[in-house]
Amino acid sequence: MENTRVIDPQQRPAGTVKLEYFEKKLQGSEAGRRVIEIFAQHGEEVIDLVNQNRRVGVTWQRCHGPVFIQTMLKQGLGDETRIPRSIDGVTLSDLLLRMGDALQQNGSPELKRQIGRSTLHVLQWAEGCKSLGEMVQWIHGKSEEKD
Amino acid sequence: MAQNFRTQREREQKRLESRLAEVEYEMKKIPGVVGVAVGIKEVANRPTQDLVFQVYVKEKKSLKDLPARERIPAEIDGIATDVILLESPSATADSSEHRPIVGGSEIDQGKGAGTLGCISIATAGSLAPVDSIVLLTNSHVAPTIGKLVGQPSVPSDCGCCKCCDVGKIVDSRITTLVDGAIATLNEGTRFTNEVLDIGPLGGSHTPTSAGGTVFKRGRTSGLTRGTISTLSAPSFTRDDGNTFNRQIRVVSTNPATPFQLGGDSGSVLVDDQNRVIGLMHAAILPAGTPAFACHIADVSNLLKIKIETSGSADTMPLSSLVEEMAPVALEEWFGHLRLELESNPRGRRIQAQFRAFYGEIQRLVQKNREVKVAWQRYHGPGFISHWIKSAKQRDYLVPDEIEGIGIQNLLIRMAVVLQNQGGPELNDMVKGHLLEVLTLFDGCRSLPELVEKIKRSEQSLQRRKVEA
Repeated sequence: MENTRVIDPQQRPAGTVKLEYFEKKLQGSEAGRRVIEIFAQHGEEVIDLVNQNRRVGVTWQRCHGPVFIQTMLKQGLGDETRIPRSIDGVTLSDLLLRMGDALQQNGSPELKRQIGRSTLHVLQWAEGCKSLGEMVQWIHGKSEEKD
Repeated sequence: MAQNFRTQREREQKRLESRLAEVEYEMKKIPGVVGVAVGIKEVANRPTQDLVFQVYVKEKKSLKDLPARERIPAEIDGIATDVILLESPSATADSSEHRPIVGGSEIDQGKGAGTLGCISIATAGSLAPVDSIVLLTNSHVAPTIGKLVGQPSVPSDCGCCKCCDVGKIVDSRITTLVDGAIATLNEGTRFTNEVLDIGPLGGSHTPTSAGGTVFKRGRTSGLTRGTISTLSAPSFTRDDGNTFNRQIRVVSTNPATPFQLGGDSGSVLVDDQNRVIGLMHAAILPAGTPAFACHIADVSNLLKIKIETSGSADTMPLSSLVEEMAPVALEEWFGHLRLELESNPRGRRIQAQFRAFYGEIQRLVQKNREVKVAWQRYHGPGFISHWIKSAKQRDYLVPDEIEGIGIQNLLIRMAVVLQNQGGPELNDMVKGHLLEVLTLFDGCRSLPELVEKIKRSEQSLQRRKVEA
């Protein structure tokens, strides 16, 4: 049963995203650099919570987080990589909302604050972007909006 | 490791209990033996962790004064025995006022002060209205049905002073298993489901083995710590003539200090996870140990009550404060917004959605535990208060956060719990409109600003339709 599964603390969630792709692509704008900074600040805590916090881990599994990641990794990471819309009835927005909620409930106050600030943009990506390339362009577009 | 020890002890308890009837039958053949129970061994009145057959006697005698056939064996089929003197306990009486009403405080109906055990909820079959909040204590503390009960002191039925009146006893009974009474709260009396010095309660629980650490907080001896000696003490008669069977027997962790004294009657017995397991009603005085409690399952079954969890993860303080804030405030706030939105098609759509689902959301916030907890823990009432103020004072800015929680955090949490607990249409509505709501409230700190955003987004939508 999921809630009795022992999670190996050394194990990374299925398909740890190769961040180099994103780091290269996002450097070109202020909004992109901000996203990298957020990952640097909170990424480790998020991975630890997925691996070691039962509630967060169960939410990740139940919302098919590993399958979403694997589906993209199988295509190879590039601008044309399609972002799956849904897996077994769970939409990407469902996954992101529930993970955001699980992380804000179980994470540090700083993570909770960041979740509050970022969830809207993350859900907008999920709604509007069909590929990783579109997602990167959307993020860059945010810098232009501010300018 | 602790889990293994607990499991082993539970297994051992069950093993001994399977032999209990046969052992008791044999032991009662010995003159002076009045009962046998499975419990922990007490050495010099101190509890140990060894499970034994407790053999209760009317009088302890020296071995040399007893013929061989009247001596209780040191062990029975490899299981140790412990000889315990059965005494007649006495029904047992901080006199400060506590508001909101809280467990562990003094309560009085004019028969001598006792202790208010905790807050509970009336269930089907109760003499209190179903789902009403009731106070729990002993019957011998508050014996008279229909009469008022005071915290801390005796209420004035004549009406000349009502400041201490907190409720009215609706059920009060003594049986061989239970000494319990419940009172409905007077209207407007605020309460919180905690016990002084113990904190928020974790619901109720039926323990499965002796030896566990327990606590109680009474108005006389305050917070005390003990060990469950047995879950099923043999029948005893209290000094008021009432006989009880199968009670929880507790010994003080430190035999030099009492567990329960006069005036502590009515306090709840909790385990190390703050779960209520019993209702205290008697003790051997003046030592104050051992002491006796009714099983909370028996109390709940007789008086038809349940004790809610409070205060720990995913639970809430069962408190009147949430019920005061949620439905009235939300309606009032939306009332202010409605006037601004009448002229705007998107505004009218938002109103229609609100009207369609307001009743269900209101019921969930008031009655559903997961939704209530989320609403309170993420400062729903607080944010509503600020938005109402913004409606009344045009230049008032709603704070970005309340104690580290932003409105976006609240909206995310509420979206999840409403989807979890609401009907299919509410689920669809939340899914379909979450992005819109998050966008509207993003960076928005006043009602006029919110209304402007709604109008602008409608204009932008109309422009896109024309261009298309």
